[in-house]
Amino acid sequence: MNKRASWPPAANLIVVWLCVVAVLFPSGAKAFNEAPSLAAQVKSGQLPPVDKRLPASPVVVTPVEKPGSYGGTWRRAYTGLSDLVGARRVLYDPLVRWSPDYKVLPNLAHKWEIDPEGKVFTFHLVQGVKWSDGQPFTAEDILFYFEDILSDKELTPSIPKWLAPNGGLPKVTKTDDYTIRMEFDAPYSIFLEQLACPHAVVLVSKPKHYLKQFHKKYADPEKLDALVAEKKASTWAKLFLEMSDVQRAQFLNPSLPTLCAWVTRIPAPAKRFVMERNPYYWKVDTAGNQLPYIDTIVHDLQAEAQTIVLKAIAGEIDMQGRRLGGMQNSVLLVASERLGKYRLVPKFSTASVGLLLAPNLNHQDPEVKKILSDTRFRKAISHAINRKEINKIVYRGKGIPRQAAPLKDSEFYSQPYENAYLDYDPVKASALLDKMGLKKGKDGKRMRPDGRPLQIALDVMVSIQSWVDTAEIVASNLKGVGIDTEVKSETMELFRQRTQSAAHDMALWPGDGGMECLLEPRWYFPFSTESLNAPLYGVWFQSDGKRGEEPPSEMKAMMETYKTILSTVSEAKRKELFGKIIAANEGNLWVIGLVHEPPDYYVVARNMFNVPKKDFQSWIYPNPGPIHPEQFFFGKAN
Amino acid sequence: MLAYIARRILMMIPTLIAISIISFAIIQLPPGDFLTTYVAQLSVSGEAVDQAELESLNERFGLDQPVYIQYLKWAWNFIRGDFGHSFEWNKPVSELIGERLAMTVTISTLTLLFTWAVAVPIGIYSAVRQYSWMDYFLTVIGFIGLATPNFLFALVLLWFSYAYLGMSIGGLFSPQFAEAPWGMAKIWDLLKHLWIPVLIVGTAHTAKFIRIIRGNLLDELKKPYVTTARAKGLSETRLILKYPVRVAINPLVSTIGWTLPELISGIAITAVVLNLPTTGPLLLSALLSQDMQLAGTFIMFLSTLTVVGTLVSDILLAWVDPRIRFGAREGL
Repeated sequence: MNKRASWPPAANLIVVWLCVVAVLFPSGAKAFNEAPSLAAQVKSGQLPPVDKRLPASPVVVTPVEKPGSYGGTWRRAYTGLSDLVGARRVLYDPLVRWSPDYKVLPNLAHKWEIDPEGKVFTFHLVQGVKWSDGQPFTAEDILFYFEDILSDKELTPSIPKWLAPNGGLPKVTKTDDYTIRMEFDAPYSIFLEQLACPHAVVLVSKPKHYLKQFHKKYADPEKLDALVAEKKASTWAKLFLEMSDVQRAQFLNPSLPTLCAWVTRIPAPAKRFVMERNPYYWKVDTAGNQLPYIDTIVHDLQAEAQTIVLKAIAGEIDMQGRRLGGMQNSVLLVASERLGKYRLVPKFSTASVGLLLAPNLNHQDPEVKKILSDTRFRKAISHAINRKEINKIVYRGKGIPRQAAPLKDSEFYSQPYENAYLDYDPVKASALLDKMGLKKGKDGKRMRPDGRPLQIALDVMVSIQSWVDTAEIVASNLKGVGIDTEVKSETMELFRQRTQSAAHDMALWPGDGGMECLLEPRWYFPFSTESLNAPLYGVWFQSDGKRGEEPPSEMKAMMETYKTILSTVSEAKRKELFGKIIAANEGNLWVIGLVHEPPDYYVVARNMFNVPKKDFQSWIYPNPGPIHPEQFFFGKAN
Repeated sequence: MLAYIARRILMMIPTLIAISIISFAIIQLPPGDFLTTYVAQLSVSGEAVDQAELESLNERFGLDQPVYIQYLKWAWNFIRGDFGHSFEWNKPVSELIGERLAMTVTISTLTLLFTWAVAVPIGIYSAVRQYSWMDYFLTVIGFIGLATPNFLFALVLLWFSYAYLGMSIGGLFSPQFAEAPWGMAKIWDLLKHLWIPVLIVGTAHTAKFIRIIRGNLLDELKKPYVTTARAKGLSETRLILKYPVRVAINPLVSTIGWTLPELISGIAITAVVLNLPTTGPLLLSALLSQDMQLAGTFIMFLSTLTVVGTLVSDILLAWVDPRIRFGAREGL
């Protein structure tokens, strides 16, 4: 803790974050420095000199505290291939990126133009960026992704929705090697934001010069067949995906060139999965030192997430938040701060609430469906829940009771929705239920209008204890107003299967999208099957009405509004339109929010510097990527 | 005898086929498949997988095929010695199991030896000095070992070795040796870590063996041949070690067959806590993530070992005990 106090006071301000802005140096004015290990390789002739490896005007990152020194091994831990997302979050270099305060910043594209209609996006790439094997990165590589991967039916069975909001891919052309133009058939207002999301890294992770050898269109058929046989893939498409997919290939295939700060040396899932600095990384600090500062990232394989917590407490982790979240771990981590020689950096969840209740509007039983679809029922539930108690028991009183409304930091914040039907008032709840005709039987339990007992099951995933605890409290609250409620705790797979096919009564899930409302609107209207309050309406929306269940008019209106937002260029207009959706939510309360979670923590070794004082926790903002891990460095702990 | 063995070996084939079908079916019973688990895991931490990505993954893993096709493919390859490919580890199953098998067998064998080394002397002592205070004391110690959950003992030792011996948490090697080539230093480093699992699993089993030896030895000690030997003036130590003990440790020998499958899966929980690179945690995670080919191969291995182990102990017994041998002959 004394460490924190000794930091420059300015570092406490968010203002400093804003300084971490990539700007461009006047070209060629500066001599650049490099890591000693690379200098040695230059001397022995294995690498070209640093000025030849960097772009003439490299992207400049302003360090959070101060320019650092080279070297060191960043120790992390992971639980296997399904946990590689952790590494993906560290290596975050899309075309444009999120700033630490969640705004779009230039990255590989140093500037862009958007036509007034909002249909045509022209990106100017940083000139002279090289892949980790030294080959130039140009517009050709992006074109390769669109023309030879996305448009190839064998490689891409269906096109990602974010690239084709209206079903069709944009027309992509290159003006020259460093200018690429994407033209949509309709305005696409959140395309830039989409490009900063982790899924958009795919655009700049396909080195054409390397992947050509695996592609039917370019490769010599005999050679390709030999490769397919050698790698035991059944088709060339499988081989191609194996060598290049965005989820894992970067960490499994060390020969795949990348644009990230570190490249794989010993591939996962090794006991020690090792990544080393990319000698061609195209960013420098304010003093002209090539980034990253840290030589090596090591992920230690653990059989179980709990042993990662043990390692953190023992001081064997230098910087990591993954697998260390949750209230229980937080308490443990706070208590062991001194022992483990680390400090804790809070990361604030962008989810509107830690958990919400999603009453299933697509229920198979028409009678239950009628009850769940009744606004009075949902309002009654909201009043029947003692959020203060949940906050006290589950979050140690550190959370904030609220509805699943956009967060304060969001441009769509709505105070009325945040506080709607929030007070704990069992009497009001009972009155609402009585009015609905859900009369109490002799045993004090409410009956359905058809005379059968009303029973509600709360589906919750069993793997996270605090979720089950919350469900138990909610169930006892609902029993308090006469609704016979049972908690159904299930494994992940069963939960997913039940909720996605709308087989549940009410499900508990985090309120994702409290900040990034437009990118993750699942709790504002039935956006996809992830909208557990109406998964079948979600299917209907995603398939443009071809599949799923047709939603009622008020839902359709919201879907139309959302589509209009996507094609509205004016920010003010978008805000006004989304305000309508929020107002509809406030009136109907389609999901019932509980409590906003207190932050989880990164464990940061005391000798690691340039880590900001706080961060967000989200997937769309793939923390800690946006806080520039390439400028973290090891110094002397004080 | 040979015909008996041949018949038993032939019987193993349908048994194993039945086991393979049942185990594949059981692994398939929980809802979803490997991909469901994968996506569910991601969605828990808020990481969404695009529907388009999902479809391409599904096709790649061949999970869009019906279960019986998946089974037949796996079984056919299994017979030809190709154990398939693990989704979760993206490696051939044989490689995965192979690299962990040596370590598992090492730990398990050492544990077995440790158990015997502790249990046999204590068993003998507490039989010879029945109801002495040492008998009670050692028995209590043995039962504490049996009653303490392995994971708890593992945690305590983990803390002890970290806090007082300055060792890194978990694993079988210190970080600096993890990728180093084999040498004296590495072996020494291994030994420094190895005693923990050996002690934990060993203590859990000693009580059982102590009781077996003590009980058997007590029976033997009352038999006339012991009295005769003593009457002939044989020294007490020599007498006990030479005759009754040899009979008393018979159960230890005849259960060697059963320990074969335990060699692979025996120390799973301890291994998870201590993060040991053995097969137990691998099997557990394969089952949890529905990594079909890995889990299936594992269960086939365990079943084969159990079947073979039973055969071995039957043969051993028949060899040791004439009554069984003659019974078998008459049965033919």
